[in-house]
Amino acid sequence: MKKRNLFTSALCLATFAALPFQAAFADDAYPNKPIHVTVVWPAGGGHDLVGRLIGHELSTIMDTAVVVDNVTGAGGSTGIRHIAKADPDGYTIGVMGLHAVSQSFMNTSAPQLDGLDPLAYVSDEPGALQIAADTGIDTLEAYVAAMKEDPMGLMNGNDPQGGNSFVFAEVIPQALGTDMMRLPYPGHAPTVTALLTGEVQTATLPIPPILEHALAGTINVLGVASETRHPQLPDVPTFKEQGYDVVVNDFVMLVGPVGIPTDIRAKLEAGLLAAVNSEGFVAAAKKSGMVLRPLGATDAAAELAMQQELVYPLLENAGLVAPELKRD
Amino acid sequence: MLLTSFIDVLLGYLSSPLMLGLVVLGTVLGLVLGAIPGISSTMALAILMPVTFTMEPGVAMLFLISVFMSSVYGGSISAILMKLPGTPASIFTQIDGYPMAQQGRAGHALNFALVSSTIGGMIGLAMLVLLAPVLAEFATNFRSPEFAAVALFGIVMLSFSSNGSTLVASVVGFIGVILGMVGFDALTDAQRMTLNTPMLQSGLNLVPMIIGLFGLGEILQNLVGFAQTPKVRPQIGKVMLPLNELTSRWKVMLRGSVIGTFIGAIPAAGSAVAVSIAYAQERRLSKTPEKFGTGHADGIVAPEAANSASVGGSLIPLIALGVPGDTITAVLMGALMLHGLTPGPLLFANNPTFVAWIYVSVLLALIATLVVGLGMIRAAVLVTRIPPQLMYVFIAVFCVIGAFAIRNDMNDVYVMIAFGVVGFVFSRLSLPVTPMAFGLILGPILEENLRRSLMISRGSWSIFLERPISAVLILICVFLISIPLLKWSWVKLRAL
Amino acid sequence: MTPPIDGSARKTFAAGLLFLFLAGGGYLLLTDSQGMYSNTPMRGDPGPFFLSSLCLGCLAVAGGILSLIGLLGLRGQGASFVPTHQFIEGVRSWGLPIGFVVSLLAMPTAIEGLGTMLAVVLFSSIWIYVLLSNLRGHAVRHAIEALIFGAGAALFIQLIFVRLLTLPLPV
Repeated sequence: MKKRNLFTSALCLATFAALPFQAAFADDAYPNKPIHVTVVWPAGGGHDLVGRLIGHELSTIMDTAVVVDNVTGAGGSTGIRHIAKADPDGYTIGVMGLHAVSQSFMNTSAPQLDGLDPLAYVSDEPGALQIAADTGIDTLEAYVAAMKEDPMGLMNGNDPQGGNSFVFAEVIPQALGTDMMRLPYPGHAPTVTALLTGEVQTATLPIPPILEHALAGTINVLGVASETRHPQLPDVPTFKEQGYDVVVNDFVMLVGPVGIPTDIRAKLEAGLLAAVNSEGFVAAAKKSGMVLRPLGATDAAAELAMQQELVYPLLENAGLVAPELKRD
Repeated sequence: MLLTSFIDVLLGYLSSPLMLGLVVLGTVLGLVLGAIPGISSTMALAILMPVTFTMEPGVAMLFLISVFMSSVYGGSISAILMKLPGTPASIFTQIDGYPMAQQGRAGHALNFALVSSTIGGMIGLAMLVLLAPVLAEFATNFRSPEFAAVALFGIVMLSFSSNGSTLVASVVGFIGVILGMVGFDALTDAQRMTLNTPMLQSGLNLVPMIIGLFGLGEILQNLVGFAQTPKVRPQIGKVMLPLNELTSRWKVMLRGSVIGTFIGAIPAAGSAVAVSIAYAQERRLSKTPEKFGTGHADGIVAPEAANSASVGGSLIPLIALGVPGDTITAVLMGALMLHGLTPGPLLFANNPTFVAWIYVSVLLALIATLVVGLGMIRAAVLVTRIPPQLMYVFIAVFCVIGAFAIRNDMNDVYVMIAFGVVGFVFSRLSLPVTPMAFGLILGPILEENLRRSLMISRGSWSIFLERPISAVLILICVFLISIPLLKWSWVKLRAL
Repeated sequence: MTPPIDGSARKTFAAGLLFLFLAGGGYLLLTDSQGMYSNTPMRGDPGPFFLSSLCLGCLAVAGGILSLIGLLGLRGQGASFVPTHQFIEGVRSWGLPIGFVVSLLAMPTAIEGLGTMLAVVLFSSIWIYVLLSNLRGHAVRHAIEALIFGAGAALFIQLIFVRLLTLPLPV
C-alpha cells in the first residue's frame, strides 16, 4: 500500500521535473537558461546586495532568470576560483572587488587575475576615516593633532591583512604623517559594532557600512580619500581639500571566466551596463552609499590593471606579498 | 510609545486577510524548506528573497520573518526524524529527539520541540518589547574581553553537556577548537593546517561537519551488521502530547528562554552559544542527568526554547545599534537594504512603527508556525515508517547535496564524508561528538577575541579580570571546573 | 583506577591512541603552516599559532593519560584476544559501511562527470539494491524496485535543488 503511494508520488515528481526541460530547449539564442551571479561573500553583505540588485535588473533586461550563488570561503578565493573555472558560456559571472587583487599577491594558491575577464565596472568605494562622535573630535586637523601627541591614544578598527579597510589604514596615515594602532576585525559589520560600542575610536571603512551612522551623528567622517566629495555626504571634505594628497578606493566590478564567445560577451556586457545604469539599481545603490561609475569591459580591465599596480607596492611594504609571487 | 504602536500594527495586520495569508504562505514554505535536509534557514531566506522584490518593505519583512521562524522549526524536524541537524540549535534537539523518535515517540518529540520553541520565542519577544533598552545597554557592554569570556564559559559548560567522563568531553571539545582554526586566521593573513591547499584554506564549515558527524555517522553505524540486526521500524505512537507533560516543564522553558534572550542579545555570540549553555545548564541542574541523550524531553525543551528566544535577543543589536547580531539578522538586514531601507540608528529612531512591524511579524510568525507545525506533525512522522534500505540511501544523498549547497563548494562534500567517518569511529569508541561541533563554533570566537583583547592590553592578561562582566564569567568558569575536584577531595577526606 | 570510557580498558586505550595520533597529525600540519608564515604578530598578540598549540598540547597530554590508564587496565584484565572466527565476522560486518564511504567518496567526481541526476540514480539504485539483497536475497524484483526508487531520489533532487533552488550543481 505504502509502496504504491511512494511510486505514484515519484511519477508525479517525474512529470513535474520534465516540464521545464521542454522550455529550456525551445530556444537556442543566448540567454536560454538562468544566469548565475557568483558572490564570494555570505548573503547580506555589500557585494551580495550588488549581486542581487543587478541580478534583478538583468533578469528583466535579458529576459531570463538570474540567480545569486554565494560561494564563500578562504577570504573570497573560493568564489573567485569558482568563476575562473566555470564554463565560459556566459551563464556564470561574478561580483569582484579589491580582495581578489590582494589575495592574488598574498596567497600562492589563490587564483591569479589573468583567469578572469572584466565585463563591467560598477562603482568606486573610496576609503575614508571615521571617528566615534563621543571622542569629541570632529575635524581632521584635531585628529592629526591628537594622534601626533599620542600615537596610540586612538585605536583604529579595520579588516585583517589584505581587506580593503586594512589597505586604507595603511595608506591614509602615511599621507597624514601619523601612526595608528590597527586592531583587526573579521569584516565590516564587527568593525562598525566595535566603533559604536567604543572598543575602537576610529575606523577606515568605506562609506556604505557607516552611512546611516554618519547621518545620525553617532560617527563623524573626517575625510574621504577620493577626488570629489561623496554624493551622500556632501558636507564631508575630501582629504585633498584638507591638504593631504591621498586617493585610494576599493571597487566593485563584474567579471566572468576568460574565453566567453565574442557575441555572447558583447550581449552580456551590454546587458550588465544597462542593468547598472537602470533606474532601480541607481536609486538603491545611491541610497546605500555606493559611488556609481559604470564603465564597459575595456575600461574595467584598465581599472583592474591600475588597481594591481596600486596594491602591489602597498602589500610589499607591509611584508604581505608571498615570496613566490614577488615581482623582480 | 512602542507598546501602543505595537498593538496598532498588530490589529492592522490581523484585520488584513492578505497579510495573514502571506504569513501562512511564508510559514508553510519555511517549514517545508527547513525540513528538507541540507537547506538551512539562511538559505531558505536567500532563496525566497527575490519573491519579496515587488512587496512593500513591511510586507516583505513579515513574509521573510515568517519564513525564517518556521524554517528554524523545520530544521528540528529533520534533526528529530533523520538525525540531520542543519543548525547549531538542532544539534542539541537531535541528541534527545532522535532517540525519542526511534522509540516510537516521534510525534511527542516534534510536539515538545514545537511548543517549547513557540513559548521560548514568545518570552524572547516579550523581553525584547519590554526590556529592549536594558538589553541594549547590556549588549553594548560586551567588547572583546567579554566575548572571549562568554566563549570560554560556553566551552567549559560543554564538558558538562554529555554523559560520561568530563575530561573526555573537554578533550573532544579541544579537537573541535583546533578544527575551527583550519583555514585563514581571522586576524592576520596566516594560514593554519592548510598545507597551502584551496580545500583546507576554505576552512571547515559547520553544516557539512554536523551532517557528517550525526547523519552519515548514524547510517554507517547502522550498516554494521546490517543483514543480521532485526529491522524494527518504530511505531508512530500517539502524536499529541498530554498537556501536563508540557506544563510540568515550565521551569525548563523559562530558564532556556531567559538564557536565550540574554545571550542572543550579545552581538556575534548568537543562538549557538545560547543553546549550548541552556542545554548544559539544564543537564547540570537535572536530578536525572543520565537520562539526557536517551530521549529525555528536557533535552529537547531547553535548547529549543533558548534557540527561539535568542531570535528576540538577536534583533536587539539590529534595532539598538543598526548592526546585525548574527548571520540571520545579516540576511534580514540585506533584505531591508534591497528595499532601500538601511538599518541604522536613524531608521529606527525616525520610524518607531517600523520596529513595531518587526515585533508584530515575529509574533505572527510564531503563532503561524505553531498552528501549521501542529498540523504537519502527523504527516511528518510518516518519515519514520520509510524502510531503512531506502531511508539510509536517501539520507546519504541529502548529506551529499546539502553539504555542497551550503557554500556551493564540492570540497565540502569530502569534508562531510570525512566527518561521517569520524562520527562513526567516535561512536564505536563511545566518545561524545557534540563537544566537537561546539568547539568548532566557539573556538574561533574565543581565539579571535582573546587575541584582540591582548592586543588592546599590549599583552597583559589582567584585562580579563579588570572588566567586571568578564571577571565574573571567568570566576564562574573556575568555580565550575573546581567543583568536581572539590567533590573528589571531599570524598577522599571523609574516607580518611 | 577505572577506565573513564564505558569502564572499558580496550576503548580507553584506543581513544588515547586516537587522541595521540590526532595531536601528532595536527602538530605536523601546524608546523608546516608555521613555516609558511613570515609575518610578525602585532604587539600583545600571542600569535595565530598560540591557541592551536595549546589545544594540541592538551590533546596530547590527555591522549597520553588515557592510553596509559587503558594499558594498565588491559594488563590488569590480562590480554584476551578475540577468537579468529569472531574477528573475521567483525571485519565482514564492516564491509557495508566501508563500501558505502568509498562510493560516497566517488560521488563528487561522478556528479561532475555524469551530471547530478545520473550520479544520484546510480548511487541510490545500486545501494538500495545492495541493502535489499542483504535483507532478502538477490532477485530481479529488488533490482527493479531499487531502480524506481533511485530514479525517484534523483528526480526529487533535480526538482528541488536544481530546478527550484537553482543550485549550481553540474547538470
